[in-house]
Amino acid sequence: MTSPGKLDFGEIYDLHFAKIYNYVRYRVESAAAADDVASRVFERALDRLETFDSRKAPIEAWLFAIARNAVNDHLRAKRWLSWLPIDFLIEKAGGDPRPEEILMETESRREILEALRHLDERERNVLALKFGAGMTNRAIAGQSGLGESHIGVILYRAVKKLQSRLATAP
Amino acid sequence: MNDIENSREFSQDPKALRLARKLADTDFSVESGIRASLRARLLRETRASASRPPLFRLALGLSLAALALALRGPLQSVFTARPASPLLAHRSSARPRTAPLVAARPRLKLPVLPGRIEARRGKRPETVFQLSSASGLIVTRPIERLFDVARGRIVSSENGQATLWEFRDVTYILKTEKISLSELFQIRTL
Repeated sequence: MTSPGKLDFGEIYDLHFAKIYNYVRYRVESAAAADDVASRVFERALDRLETFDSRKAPIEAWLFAIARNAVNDHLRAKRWLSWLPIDFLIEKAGGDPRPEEILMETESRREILEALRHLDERERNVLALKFGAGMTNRAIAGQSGLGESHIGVILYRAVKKLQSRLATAP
Repeated sequence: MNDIENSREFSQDPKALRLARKLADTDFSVESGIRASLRARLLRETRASASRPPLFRLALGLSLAALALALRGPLQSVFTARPASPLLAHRSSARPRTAPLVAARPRLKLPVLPGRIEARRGKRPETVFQLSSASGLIVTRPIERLFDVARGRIVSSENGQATLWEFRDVTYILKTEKISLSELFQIRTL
């Protein structure tokens, strides 16, 4: 096991926060939920840092394994609690425009997120790994158990679906 | 993005490729409202944990272990030394039970042999850990308790020998007897 002394948690956080957050954001319904899940990921990572073994896997793969489990836990809990009106309220709160979101770039992000809602869970997961985590098709195939060419096809179809959604968006 | 750009599907569809590039460039993390505060909180926790002396953590671990051991004895006695429930007592007085497979067979009239054996009386060593209020140290208190396993007696039958254990109202029989080959594969049903 890698000695915790050799790992600077602040450095790990700075290097990987954006990728982890992007991956999570692709898969969950709101910014508030993404904040919640991302904080759970880094809390768990800090708790288990002493168990991390750099000989088994690079730190990024270890973090994404934690992130995948945290997202799955969130989605499972959400399925059970989806009847609660609070879910709707969180969604609204997370979607409230902040002043800086008036910018064009932000609008573009919001459109993408809106279009993502119409994809199924598998498509969102593959897009999250590809564009959120920045993984190669081969790495995604290795993680999901699907073939590399199959991943390419899923990606293309998901992007085409997004494209048609964005084209019809008001 | 290289594998996207080189893929057959995307290379033939410039609009899809443009969107894929846009997705790759989009950073949602700028919307995060916790990035800085979470970092500060986790680093504070890291520092707090590192500042705790190893002796403190060892003492904490030992305290938890001592608590678990102290609870072991009383909890074990709760689960093992329960009084017989009135329902069970009623059932056993109303209908003496035998071991199920044996009960299906007609009871043998077995002559009692002069030798009567008693099952060994088991001695179960037990140790209870207690926290001494005076010294604060862990002290042990050994308990020696004898308990009956069962009483057994050897009886002889036509084809062999059997040992009978009578425990409360239930009789258990362990028989040794010669059987024929056809009996070996006989399936007995209740």
